[in-house]
Amino acid sequence: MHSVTRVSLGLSTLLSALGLFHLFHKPAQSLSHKVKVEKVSASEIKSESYSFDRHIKAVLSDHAHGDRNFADIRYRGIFKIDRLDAERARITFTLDHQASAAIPFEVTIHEWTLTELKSGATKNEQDEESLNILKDFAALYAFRSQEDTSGKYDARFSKQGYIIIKEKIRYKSTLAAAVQILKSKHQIQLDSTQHTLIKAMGKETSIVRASKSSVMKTTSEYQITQLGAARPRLISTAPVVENSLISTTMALQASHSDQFIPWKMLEPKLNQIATLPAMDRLSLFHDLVNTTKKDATAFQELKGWLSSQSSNIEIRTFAIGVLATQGSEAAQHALLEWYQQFPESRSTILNSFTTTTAPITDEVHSFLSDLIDQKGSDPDPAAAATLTLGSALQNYNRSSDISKLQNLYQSAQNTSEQTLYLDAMGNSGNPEFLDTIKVGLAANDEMVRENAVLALRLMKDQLTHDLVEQAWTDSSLKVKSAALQVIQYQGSAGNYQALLAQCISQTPELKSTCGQLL
Amino acid sequence: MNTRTRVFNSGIVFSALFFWLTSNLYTFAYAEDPTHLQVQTKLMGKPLVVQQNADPSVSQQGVQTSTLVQFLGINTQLMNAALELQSTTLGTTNWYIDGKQIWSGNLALQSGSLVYSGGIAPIQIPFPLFAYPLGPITLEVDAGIDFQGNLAVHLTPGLSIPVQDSSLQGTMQESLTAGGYLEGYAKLLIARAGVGGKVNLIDGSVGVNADIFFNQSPPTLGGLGKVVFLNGNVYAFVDTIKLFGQWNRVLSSNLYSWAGKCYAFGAATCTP
Repeated sequence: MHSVTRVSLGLSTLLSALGLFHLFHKPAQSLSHKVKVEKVSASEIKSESYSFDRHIKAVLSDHAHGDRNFADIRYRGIFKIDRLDAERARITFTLDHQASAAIPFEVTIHEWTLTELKSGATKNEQDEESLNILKDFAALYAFRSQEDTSGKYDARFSKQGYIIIKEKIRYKSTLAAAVQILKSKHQIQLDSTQHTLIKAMGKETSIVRASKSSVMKTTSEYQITQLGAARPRLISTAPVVENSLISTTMALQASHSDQFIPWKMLEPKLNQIATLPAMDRLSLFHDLVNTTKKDATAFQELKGWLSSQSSNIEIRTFAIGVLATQGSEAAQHALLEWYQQFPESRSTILNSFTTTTAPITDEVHSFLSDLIDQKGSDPDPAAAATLTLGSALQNYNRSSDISKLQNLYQSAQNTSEQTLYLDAMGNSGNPEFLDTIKVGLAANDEMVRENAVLALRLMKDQLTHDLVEQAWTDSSLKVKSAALQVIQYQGSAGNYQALLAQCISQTPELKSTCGQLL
Repeated sequence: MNTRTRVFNSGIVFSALFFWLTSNLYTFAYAEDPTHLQVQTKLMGKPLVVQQNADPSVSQQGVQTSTLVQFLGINTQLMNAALELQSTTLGTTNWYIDGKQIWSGNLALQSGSLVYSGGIAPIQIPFPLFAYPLGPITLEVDAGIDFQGNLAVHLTPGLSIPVQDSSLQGTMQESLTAGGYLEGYAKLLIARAGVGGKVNLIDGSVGVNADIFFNQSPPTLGGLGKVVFLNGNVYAFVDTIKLFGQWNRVLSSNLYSWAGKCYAFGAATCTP
């Protein structure tokens, strides 16, 4: 065979092999896009809603009561968009739920206009996540109007603002993740929009078609498959809307991490505690609390270590914090033992019971009650125990303790005792004390009235609001100042606009405080 | 290049290096009003604010201080303290932690000065858990504040004639260490993700120098000590599984990274 023929035969064999390789070897990555299409009338898009129904098994963590419960929960959430005119839309978000266990959260209904969304108005500080989602609505409305005028964007989309909106919201987090994955694994430069993503993957799909009388509404689902692996893998299904709804109501997840740092890694740091900077010491505190909560052995190890170091008051104070925060029955029992053993740490231990969010045990409760009953012989610990008992009422509702503090107030011998019991009621944040606090607000003594107002600081219901406004009319500047402190504690200056405006114009002594609050 | 030029140039290089090193440690801030400090930024789209205030009391015979933290959008009155003078030999203090009163009583008279000194064991203020969508996984995020604080009040009468013009010079000093923590981790069959980190909300000893007058003149207040606000790191990651169970990091992101802001008053300095 002629050498040229041999070469061309070789080349064609090689090309065929390459062709076969390309034919059978598909790119490692692909994006599938399932589209469900249904026809709706154009008039329907004046009012659009997106709803979902979801049934989950959830872990409910309630830090206020320091425990976790399981519950079967059924959500029903609705986003409703009412287009008022070309420039204005009203977006309403409602959430309803049914659960097998009593869940201490409120179902909220919020309503925004487009103008409010653009200005960043918020109905609830805790609800920023859903506000961000709703801002996407606003952005997409703006986007749509721009595309309408420029005409550069795909006309099929430009007519269908609602459809874009829906898909943008549903797949926001999924697409962001997909883009990130594709960028990092395949060096593909993509915009994070749905359209360019599909185009880049060679899967451009006519998602929407429109006519004057109708639109084709789509429901889409993306799956990213075969990302560099042999078998298809589902990367993402979580729609961001549902995530946001969950995050704005309560935290849920069927599984929870049980991660903790083992004791043997913490012990060397603990041995150097005297030389650790304050912030590192606080980090160690955090890790110790976490570890001893999750590992009973570590708790025993810590107790053993502490008993060998207990002569050092600084380390003991640190340890008191760990035990009080860890909050188990054994930890609280150990603190009571230390109370007897180390008189110089008694006030620290009582303060720890006041500041901890862990519910106090029956043993600690009896101990506090005994201290209060001994007020005649030992007034300082009795006062501290009273403040602690009040604080403990944040974590449980023991009617006998409520009655006890009410009776103590009624039988108080002097102003000092009255203010102490009002302070204890204030530590509880419990509205069952409102009747007693009202009595304090009407007292002749200015100091009692001042402390009665301050006792409202952790309460947030409407009656509290009215009492703060009532306190503002008091002739005493100290009482007025206490009312402002309550507003500051509650973080509710928005509910007292008129009061604060009046303060600025009519109360020069408090003008600066009111200005800051406003 | 002669020796003098070399020395001059190496001086410039050294100065630049020193400036670079120190400026990366802290963002320096010179407060216009040392009694009202506020640093504000954002974390995960939510406000992150620390405020440290000192004001005269309504009676003009005392001082009140407050430390407010807004972490992940949740307001916490971390520590409040008030000092009220009744006479040259009698004063009272009130002390609140996270809205709970832990001390109310008289200052002690020691060697001619009125004093109070107290400290709390470290505490944890947990926030309600929240869900955070990170790529393909929704994380259950545990967040809150770790905190430890001390309060020291010291007042020395500076008597003069006439007595009604007398004043007390004193300090109200708070040593505060507060860290905001954020921890979330979840694992599915083929992906895992985490978010975590710490923001040092307050670290330092900050306080107020006060001159309190008995003639009802407003007290004069000045800053004291050194404090660093809001330095820290919060990061997020997403891993997907490769063949044979190996994990491959597909997303790694800093949600928050800042050297913080440092304020120093009097003899204190921010330079480490």
